[in-house]
Amino acid sequence: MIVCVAVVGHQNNPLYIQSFTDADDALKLHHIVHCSLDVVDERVNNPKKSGPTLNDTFLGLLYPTENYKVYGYLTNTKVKFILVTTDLDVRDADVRNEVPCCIC
Amino acid sequence: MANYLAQFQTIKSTCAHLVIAVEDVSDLWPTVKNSFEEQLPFKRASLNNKTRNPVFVENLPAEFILTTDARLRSRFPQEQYLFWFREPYATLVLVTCEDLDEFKTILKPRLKLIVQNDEREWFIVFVSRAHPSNDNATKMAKKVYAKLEVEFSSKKRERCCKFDVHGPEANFWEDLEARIMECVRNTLDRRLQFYEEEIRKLSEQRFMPIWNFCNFFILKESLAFMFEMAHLHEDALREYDELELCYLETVNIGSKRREFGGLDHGDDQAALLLPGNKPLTQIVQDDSFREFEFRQYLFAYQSKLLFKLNRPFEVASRGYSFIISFSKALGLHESILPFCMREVWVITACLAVVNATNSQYNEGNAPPEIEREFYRLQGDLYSLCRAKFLRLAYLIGYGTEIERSAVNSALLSMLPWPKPAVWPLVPDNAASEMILQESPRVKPFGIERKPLALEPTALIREANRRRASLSAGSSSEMLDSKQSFGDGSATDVSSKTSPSSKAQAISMPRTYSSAGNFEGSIDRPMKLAEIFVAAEHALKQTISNPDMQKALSSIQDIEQKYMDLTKGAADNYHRSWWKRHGVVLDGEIAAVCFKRGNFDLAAKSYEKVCALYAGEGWQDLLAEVLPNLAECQRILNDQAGYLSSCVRLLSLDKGLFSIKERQAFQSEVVSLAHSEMKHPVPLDVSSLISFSGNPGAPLELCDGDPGTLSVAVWSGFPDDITLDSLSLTLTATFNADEGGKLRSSSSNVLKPGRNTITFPLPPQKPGSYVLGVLTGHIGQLTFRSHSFSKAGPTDSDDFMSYEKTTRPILKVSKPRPLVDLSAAISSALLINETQWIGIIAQPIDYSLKGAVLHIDTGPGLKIEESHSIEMETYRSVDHSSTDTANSGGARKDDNKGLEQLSLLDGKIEFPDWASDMTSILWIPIRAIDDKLSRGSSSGPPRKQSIVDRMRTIALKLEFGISNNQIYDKTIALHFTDPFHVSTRVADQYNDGTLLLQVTLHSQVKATLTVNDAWLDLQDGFIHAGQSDGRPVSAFLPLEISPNSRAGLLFSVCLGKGTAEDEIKLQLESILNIRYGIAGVRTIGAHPPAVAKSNDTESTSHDLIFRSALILQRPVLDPCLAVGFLPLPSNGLLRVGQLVTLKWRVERLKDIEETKVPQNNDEVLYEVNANSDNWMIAGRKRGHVSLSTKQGSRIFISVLCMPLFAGYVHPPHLGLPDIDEANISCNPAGPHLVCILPPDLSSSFCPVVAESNSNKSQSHCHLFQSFLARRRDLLKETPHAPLIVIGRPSQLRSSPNAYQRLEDLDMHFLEKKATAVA
Repeated sequence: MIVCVAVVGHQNNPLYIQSFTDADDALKLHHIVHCSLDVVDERVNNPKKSGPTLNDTFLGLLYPTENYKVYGYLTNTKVKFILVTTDLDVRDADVRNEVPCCIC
Repeated sequence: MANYLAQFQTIKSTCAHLVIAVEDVSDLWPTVKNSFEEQLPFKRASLNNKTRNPVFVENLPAEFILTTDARLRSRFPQEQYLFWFREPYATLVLVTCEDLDEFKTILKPRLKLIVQNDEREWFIVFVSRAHPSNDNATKMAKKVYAKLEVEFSSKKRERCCKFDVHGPEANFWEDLEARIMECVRNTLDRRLQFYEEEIRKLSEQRFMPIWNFCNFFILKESLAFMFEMAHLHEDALREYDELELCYLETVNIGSKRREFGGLDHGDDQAALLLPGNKPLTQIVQDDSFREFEFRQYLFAYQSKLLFKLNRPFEVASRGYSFIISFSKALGLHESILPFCMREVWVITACLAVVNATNSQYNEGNAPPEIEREFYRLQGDLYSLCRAKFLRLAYLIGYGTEIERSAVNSALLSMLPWPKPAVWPLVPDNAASEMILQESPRVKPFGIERKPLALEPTALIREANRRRASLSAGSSSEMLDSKQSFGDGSATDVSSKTSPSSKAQAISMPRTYSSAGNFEGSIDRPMKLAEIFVAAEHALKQTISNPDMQKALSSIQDIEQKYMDLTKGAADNYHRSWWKRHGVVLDGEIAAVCFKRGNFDLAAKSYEKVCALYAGEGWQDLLAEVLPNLAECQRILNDQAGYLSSCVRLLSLDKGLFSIKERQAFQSEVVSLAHSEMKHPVPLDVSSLISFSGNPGAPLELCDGDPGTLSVAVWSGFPDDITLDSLSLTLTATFNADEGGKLRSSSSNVLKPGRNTITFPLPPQKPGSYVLGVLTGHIGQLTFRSHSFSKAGPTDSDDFMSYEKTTRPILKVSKPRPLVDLSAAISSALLINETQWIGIIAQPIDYSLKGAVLHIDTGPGLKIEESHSIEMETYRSVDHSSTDTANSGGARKDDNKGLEQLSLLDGKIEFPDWASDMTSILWIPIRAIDDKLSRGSSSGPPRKQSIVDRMRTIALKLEFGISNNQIYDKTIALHFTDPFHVSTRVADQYNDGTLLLQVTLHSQVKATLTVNDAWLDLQDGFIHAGQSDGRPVSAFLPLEISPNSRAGLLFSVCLGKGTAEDEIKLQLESILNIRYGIAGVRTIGAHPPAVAKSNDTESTSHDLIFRSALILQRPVLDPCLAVGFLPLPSNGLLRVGQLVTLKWRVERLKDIEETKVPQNNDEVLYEVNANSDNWMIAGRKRGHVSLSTKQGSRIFISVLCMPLFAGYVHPPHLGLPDIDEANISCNPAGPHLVCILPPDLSSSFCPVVAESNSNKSQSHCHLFQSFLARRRDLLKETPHAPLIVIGRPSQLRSSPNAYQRLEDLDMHFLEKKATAVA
């Protein structure tokens, strides 16, 4: 289940955050999205690490934890789309297709 | 083969090195053992890896073992293959022999026997015991060795080497090592091939029922172990990796239900780095191994090899992934595992990996990227460990102690609860346990927030659901209980409860209402406190590690452990790329510090977190942390920081705090501002108070003008706030140092939202100005704001609103003409008359409101104060003409008519209507010039000197908002007489009457009307006739158009001397002209302004113009006139033809004796002619009688003959006695006359024609006689004189000379003179 979708500006400022949880816990999702920017920054600053995804806007799985997964999508203007999902068995390819859909 | 597992393990543990077998044929080993073993480990070995590529291994350890040793004996062949890795890798045969016969008979057959086993890699060391001094023995040894080499070495492979006991050859040891390595390499290759073959065979059967993982494992690990012994760690690691893959593939296949493991005591402690934690035999499960132990076993070996390869980073990286995946596996089997086994295992695993990798990691060895990644992994491990630890702490009832921050919530609320098969029950002996809890902290500023969840679902439900039986009725009982609204149900229930009841609920965990509740009934749902106690007891049983148990034993220990883990994570994250993670965890450390009362540290850490969130605009997160920072600062009495934090809180998005909370922030600021501040500090309120200029074009001011600047100030305060002062700086765009400071005059009350503040603006330097800084005071607090709003209040999304605006708010133009004063009149004005001068005051985009004009007239000019000054709207000539043509009087409203103004102390105040439009000011002035104008005699009017009649008027206009602008201008005005007079004598009669023509040149652009003119003559002149000095003509009044001329004629006589008795001689004649002028003051000269009382009638008032003329008596006054009478009627003159020229001499007047020295009536005359052209017959000079009476005349005739054809000057009659001045040539003679060539003559004298120089004299005498004769004959008849043509010219002298005596009636012509015709 996607629990949060966020659009983060090129200066890492939040532009839009929407959480899809019932509980009043948007703040923790803010935290997750904010911290996942570390990974985005790391990928952007170390293109070597990104390897084949160098020119790909889809950053893939940013932040695998035991409990949730964070996926990222980076536009040419350095706007980031961040997606937090609790679905641990999701495949990268599915997310890759899903992220643009979420944007639209 | 599985039976060999135990044996395999034993062998593995005993066998650590490669074995080199020593076949001691000649009992030499004890002698050479030491020197051989000294060479170990082998310095440099070249081995082949699994892919048959050479690998250099340094310091390869090995062991020499005699073949007779027990370790190498008594092995079954099968064992030998299975555990081939422990078999010797080379066989070293030690021999000696001193006799060839012995070699042949004994040693050789024996050696042949030894080396016939193909599977051994062997080589022979021949030990020579011969002393170097003993030549024979040495030679013999060489011979035997040579034989040995022949027997056992081949070209392909050297299998022998010679060792001298008394001193080995220099390269012996190298040779030996090379031989051994060759053997080892070959053996390795062969065994590798064997193992690969076996493994391949087994792999093919992998999915068959007979598949036995243990066998595969033994083979695979044997190979791995062999690689490890050979120091080929990479290959060994690959084997373990493959083994792990294979295990994970096969372990879950099949319907067999395998035990997972992990149930033994101590299994809660991760053994992922302890290779020998449990013997494999214990974990064997049918044909495979238990997952719990075996996966850790494999990872332990992998990490061991990685450490050997000096790759601690990889251990951490693989370790983290392993822990995550293993934790999932534990999660799958959680129901069979002890309570919270998963969490405990993860904690210990993370710490084990962190400690092991940290101790192995040498900082600075790895590339920076790897190093950062390593620290990130460390941070991740710490963070994971921390999450699990928090979960355990929560489970045992310390949830209230856990900071309900976003990070903790994110970690815990998505982490599922442990899922034991049955939730642990409260043990009976635990009934007496009481833990008193502190009441939860209240947030600063009375902020009320729903605490963030630390639990995925309500624990109370989860726990009760997992109990063996849960009756349907008990759920309602559970919900009815007030105590059940604890932490565990916060996410579901607390939203409906009031904050106070929630606080109470939170304060209640682990606090039993009564001991009697602990009945341990399985049917009754447990209460939260019971759950906590039960969990604690269950956990104590799970945890085997005393340190771990201690860490969870008390709140202090928990806190300490929590701090260690958080710090560990934060420190490592700070050293990695993941700064945000580190800073966020700093906030968690700060929370603990705050709780412990270490506010200084807490404030520092909170500041970092706030800076991070604020820098990137994460306001929601900032709103969570900032109140804590403010509280720290308040406690630390850091007033500046506290105020700043309050301001930041106020400037956050309004939705983040309730109005009440925001009011609390404001009241804090205000109360602190009005309190006694020890060190008043400036406060930056950029985020709260922003300002902007009014939209639209910037205020434009002229240089030197003050103004008022209206600025919109947005206040982010929730309530009105009173500012004691407010100032604004302006920054010049051309120079940052320039600019002014504007102060708002009165104290301001800022309402929430937009306020418009007006600042008085003193004069500024020219240039563009942008808003600089807004400063002000609230009580003792000085605040400043750098924030520029764009159009509205600072938008929360626009967190970069601190950027400097570039839009100019004020433009002070460079000094430019703001007004122009110019003269309206284009041509000269009348001098000595009251004239209007028009001064056009033209404002150039600038208001002249309240302007004052100072007028200062120069010398020779004065303002007619009897007249008032007039002012009207100015319309240029073009403009007015079109205006009037098009719209008639429609625009009259716009144009102000004449307004009378008065001059006070040389100043005129402009009326208001003239402030924005061009106006013209009419000032009556009079230019005074005492000098009389002078006429000129004849010719065009001379140019008047401009300076002569120029006057200046100095104007100073004071205008502007506060009369600060001054415009000075001096205007030059030209004045002139109406006329310029020139005179000439038009004619002069003989009687001395002169006709004086006076030409009047109009000097002005106005029509002049000469009504009268009269001439006051100077001495020596009188008016001719009866005139009274008026002009002759009677055309007056005479109208003279601008710039045109008119003439007057006066008849004047030379006076005979006026009355001598008049003392004063008038030297100049005065021309008086009474004239009228019809002109417009806008163009130039115009009728003089008259006093108001005279009214308009007097516009036709005549003016008098006087001009001085100087008349001179005529200088020339001839008394005789000589006239050339016309030539005879035919008018043709021919060469040689006599002609009579006549002159008339007439006496014009009586000769005055004094002037003409002539006593009688005779006049001497003389005819002058060019003798080349004319021959004059008769007298050229003589006296003629002429009566002295006026008008008498005589004629003088002279006979002449032209000698030269062509145009020649005629002879001239002169009167030598009379001065030329007294002679008038009247009528004048012709200047030139035309002489024709002579007619052809019938007489021809050949003699003459042939005359030559020799005979000329005699001929001439004859010729003259001849001529005399001819004269006589022709005496009576009229005839023409004979023309004698001669050559040369000398001939002429004779007849000429003769002719002086008597007339020869001939005319001599030179021959060349005839040629002209």
